[in-house]
Amino acid sequence: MSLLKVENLDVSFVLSDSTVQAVNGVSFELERGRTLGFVGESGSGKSVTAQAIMGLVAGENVELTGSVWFDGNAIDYEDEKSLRSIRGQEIAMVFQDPLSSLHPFYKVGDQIAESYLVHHTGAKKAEALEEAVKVMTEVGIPSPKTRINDYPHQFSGGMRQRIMIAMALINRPKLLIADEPTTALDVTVQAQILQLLKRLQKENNMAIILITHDFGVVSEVCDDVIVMYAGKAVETASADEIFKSPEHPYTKGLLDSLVGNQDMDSELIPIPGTPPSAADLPSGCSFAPRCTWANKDGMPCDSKAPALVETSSHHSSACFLPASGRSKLLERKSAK
Amino acid sequence: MLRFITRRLSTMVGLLFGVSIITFLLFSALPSDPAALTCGKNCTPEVIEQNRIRLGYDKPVLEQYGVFVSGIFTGRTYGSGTATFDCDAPCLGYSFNKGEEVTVLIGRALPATAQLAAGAFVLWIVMGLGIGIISALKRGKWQDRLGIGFALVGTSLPAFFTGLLLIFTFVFWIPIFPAPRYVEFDRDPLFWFLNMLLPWITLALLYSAVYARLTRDGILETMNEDYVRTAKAKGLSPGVVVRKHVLRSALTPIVTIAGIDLAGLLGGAIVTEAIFSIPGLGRLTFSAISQSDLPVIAGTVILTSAFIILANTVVDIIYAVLDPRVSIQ
Repeated sequence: MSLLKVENLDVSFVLSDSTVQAVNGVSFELERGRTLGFVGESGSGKSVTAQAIMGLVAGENVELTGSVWFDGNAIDYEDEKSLRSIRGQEIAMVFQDPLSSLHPFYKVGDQIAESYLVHHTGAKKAEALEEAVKVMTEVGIPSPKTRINDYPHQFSGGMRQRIMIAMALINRPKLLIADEPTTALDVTVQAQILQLLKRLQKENNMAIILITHDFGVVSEVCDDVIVMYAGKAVETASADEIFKSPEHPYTKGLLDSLVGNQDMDSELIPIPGTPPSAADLPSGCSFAPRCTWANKDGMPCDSKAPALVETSSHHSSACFLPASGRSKLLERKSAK
Repeated sequence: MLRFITRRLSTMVGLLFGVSIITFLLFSALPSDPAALTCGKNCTPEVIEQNRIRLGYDKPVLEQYGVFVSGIFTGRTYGSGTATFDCDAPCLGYSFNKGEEVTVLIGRALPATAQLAAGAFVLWIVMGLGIGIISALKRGKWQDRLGIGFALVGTSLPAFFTGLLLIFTFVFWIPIFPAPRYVEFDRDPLFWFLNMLLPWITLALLYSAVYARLTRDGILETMNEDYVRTAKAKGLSPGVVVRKHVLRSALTPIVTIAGIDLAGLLGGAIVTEAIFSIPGLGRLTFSAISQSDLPVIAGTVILTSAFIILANTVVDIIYAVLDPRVSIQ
């Protein structure tokens, strides 16, 4: 039984004059101890998907359909109380910008301890602080006993992200959702944080959902990948497969625009155009306006949206290009 | 900390000198002749000239100012020959219109104003923050509309209107309250309270409207902060998220404004004091201005400035305590 199973997740924001569908029919499964990467440009719906799983996307103007099973139980998003017992305890989250994600007015020790206290009724503050020191040691913060009394602004960016991770880890969650955890950090620090996540994952047999726009991060830590575009999963595969034989033109485009993924003398190839606004999606395939192969050979790209279909074992993509020989076709384009 | 306070206090002394100089210069530029106001119908040019010399208005402005300043530190002696009297340090001058020392006049008026300001402050903080918090939490609902409506009405209505409206409604129409007559607290606490309630409400309406607005906007802005999302992701209940994580940040800036507003009000609420017959600093200042009574004007202006500068310093210290990112060095 998988730890997390998401089926047909739709998230829409109902505005006064229109409805914006941010996530459209996303389905996936995640096993214990595995890392799943969500990749896509900003606005592709990867963060909303992750926050929706935790029930953090809520409000009167939000419509959420589909089903989510966690550890064998369906999550009831109407039941605020049971949601709260999952949040921070079973599923924890690390956010992009650790400075703005930590409360500027409270000591980091208190903020980490707060996570522990919410889910350990009857626990004393002193006990929670002891736990905080323990978990701070685990995430590699030097002299945690004194540093629990410091405020977030007294730490460096990398240390702050370690504090966020410590805060997420203190209750030993089964699933950690890391939303662009390294984007706001220096490159040298990025690698350290990724190493840390990998180590902690192994020690705790924890599943990780890693949201990123950076295939470099994916190659570093992910087992499986979901590529998202305009609220839909356009390709899912193992990380090795994605790098070896991408099947969706968008995935190929992302890989081609990745620094360090080409031969030294070949140029970076950007994807032309910009992602569509979720409020104004093109009919048919959302990627068609930016796609080199759109509407070729009588493909109905402008009128029909391609479904996500399995092309080989554990590899699915949503594209009208013929599955056989598609990788070769995409390969040729980047070679020119 | 100590260095900060000393530096602030020395700045304060400098500022007070500046304020008093400006007061003197403005007063000397006024077209009205303070000496001419001393003798009413019996005035002859000779009497006016005599009084001018007696009051010291014949001297150059700078010399008048010098005498005033030295009076604060060493006291001064009024008159000449046998008809002299001493005004001990700190002497802010002597009001010939009222026949009393300025410090005595201020000392008598200050308690009434302080009571007015303190009561109004408590009311407007409770009302302003309360309405602001409810509006923000019930955003878009009828409670919010009511709150915003109240804020709009409150800021739009001047004190002389709400004050008179309250008197008309609750003294004449539905006689719940006694006619405004100031009674000291120790003489009749109940009457004192009933009498102060309407002026407190008048001032509180005016101020709480602004505070409701500030509180509401502050909370709604803080709700979108990343650290509030972090708090929710921890599994905290909505109540704890609001109380511990949202309000703490949203209300901190209000401390600054509240401190300075309170200090400003301690300088006297001229209109409210006039409507409700409260013998406070506002009334004292008003009558001094209409009688061109320079010593009293200078005294009240300097006192109000001192309150505001002190409040600024206190607010800065409180702010540094509340927000660990701010340090006072």
